[in-house]
Amino acid sequence: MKRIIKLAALVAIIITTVSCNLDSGQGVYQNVFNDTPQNFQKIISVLGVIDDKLVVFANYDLYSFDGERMKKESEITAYNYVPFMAADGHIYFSYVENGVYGFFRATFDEINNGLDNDFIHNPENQVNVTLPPGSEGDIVLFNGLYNFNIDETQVTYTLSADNENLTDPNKKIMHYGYITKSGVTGNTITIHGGQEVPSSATIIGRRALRLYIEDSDIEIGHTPLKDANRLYILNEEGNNIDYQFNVGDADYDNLVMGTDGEYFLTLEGDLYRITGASTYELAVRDFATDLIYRNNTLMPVYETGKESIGYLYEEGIYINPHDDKAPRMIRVTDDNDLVTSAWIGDNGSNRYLMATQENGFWTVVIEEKDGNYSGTSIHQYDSEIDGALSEYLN
Amino acid sequence: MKKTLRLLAALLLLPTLLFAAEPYYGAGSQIFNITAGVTVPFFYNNPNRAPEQGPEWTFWPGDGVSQTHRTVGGVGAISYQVFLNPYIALGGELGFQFDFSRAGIVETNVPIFVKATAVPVQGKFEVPISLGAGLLYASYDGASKLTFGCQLEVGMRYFITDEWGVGINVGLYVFPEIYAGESSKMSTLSYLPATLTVSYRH
Repeated sequence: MKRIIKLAALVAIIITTVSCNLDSGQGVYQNVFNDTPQNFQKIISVLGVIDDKLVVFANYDLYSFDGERMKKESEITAYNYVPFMAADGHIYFSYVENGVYGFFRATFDEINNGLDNDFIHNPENQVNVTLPPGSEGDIVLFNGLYNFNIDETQVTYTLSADNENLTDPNKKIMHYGYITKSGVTGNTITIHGGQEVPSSATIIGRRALRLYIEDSDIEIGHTPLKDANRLYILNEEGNNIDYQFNVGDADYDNLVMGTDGEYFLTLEGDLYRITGASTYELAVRDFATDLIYRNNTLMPVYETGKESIGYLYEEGIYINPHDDKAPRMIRVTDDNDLVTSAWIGDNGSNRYLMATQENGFWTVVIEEKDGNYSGTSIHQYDSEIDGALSEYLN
Repeated sequence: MKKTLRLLAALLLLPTLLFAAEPYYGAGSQIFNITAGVTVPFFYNNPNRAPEQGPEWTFWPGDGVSQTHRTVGGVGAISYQVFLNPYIALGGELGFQFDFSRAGIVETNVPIFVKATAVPVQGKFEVPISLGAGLLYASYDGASKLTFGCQLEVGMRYFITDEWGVGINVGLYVFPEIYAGESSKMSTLSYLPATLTVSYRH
């Protein structure tokens, strides 16, 4: 009897102890329930626009997205032809042949008819490429874009240089650079830059790099980027440093963002426009009070005749108009932490923003009226509703 | 036809006859069990799930948003019980259950239960019916929770020798993840275990 009483007392003590600490714990079962297949390897990049549809490179195939559904347009059967851009009704490919780096372009129909040597080497399909001076050897591994902005003449990009592990963002080696496209048919493109940058650096627009730590291994125009916490503004050609700006403590609570011509800095929630190597001016007070995570994707939003900047944060994209008004928030999702690539551009009738995440993607049509922004036709891929991403894509 | 009816009657009466027989166990008898088997994620209840995301109750196997989002898993346990009287044994059980989420990450539950077993049919062939309740430690991908759980189990076992026996069991686990203040994290998970048991009694 004494044993039973002792046992009962012990059980009572344990139950009381656990009961008093019931709020510790992380919602284990909900975590399990809400976890989804790791699909980040499926969508590789957003390539651009053809016929008012976004073109997405996913599962090593080409898909078009009309704002509602993905449609597989072409299968890429030869992995050595890597699509990196969609424009002018064509998909632009890179390839390496006998150690020589080349480009060609093809329509969806032409891809579906088969890409053979005769087609690729046909002068009508070849694309004239100007590589960065002296960097042909370094850039030979170029195999695609995965974060860029495009307008009529220009693409800003980061490059992946690891063919075998292209699907794993953690293994990507990033390159800074941009592409310009010229000629009536758009078949002359020039790659500027191409310098390798570490994952610790952030590429901003097409002419700026932010460095968080000292890294003398990175060179732009033979100038090592040896100072930490700097924003390096490059020249128009992307091959030399125009000037550098001291960003301040690298505790990540001051973010830098910019467009091609302007660069901004957040300090204690306010937004400042960088005007020179050591000068800046207040642009927007109370721009954002809690921009503390580097994971947030910051991007320029291009408008006709002017530029705005926006950022992905928490529940949506915030677009800062080109005045002193507060940023407009367009709610798109409740989880932007895992954005792996973002695209923004005009498809002729709408301005789209598309971001890919580990578990899928979302798109939003951005509208601006009298300086007020709103998001319409928001489409968010939801693995719970849409099922496995691979099924959705097919 | 008559033979069939006689056999059926004998089968129906068998437990009663056995139950009426002299009990095998006495107060102080001990039994030790090692159990292993599979678990089916029977249901999951999340009262905080947004209606547009899917139903609050999901059941295995389910379809689309009605799935429990867990694979069929495995379970193992050891238990030790002492008979309080010829028909009721009381003791403890330490278990380990696992399955996988949709992300392919393992989820584990470790029940540490007080377990009471009634053995109305006993001897060479036994029908144990058990109730267990106690602490439960759940973990997944760096998250963990110490909560409570309970189980119901029904089995059949056959003693090959006087001391060693084997059996099969089916049951129901109910694991509520309880929070006092943060009710948004609360949800309940239930499994259907089907197991094989090796028993040693003394």
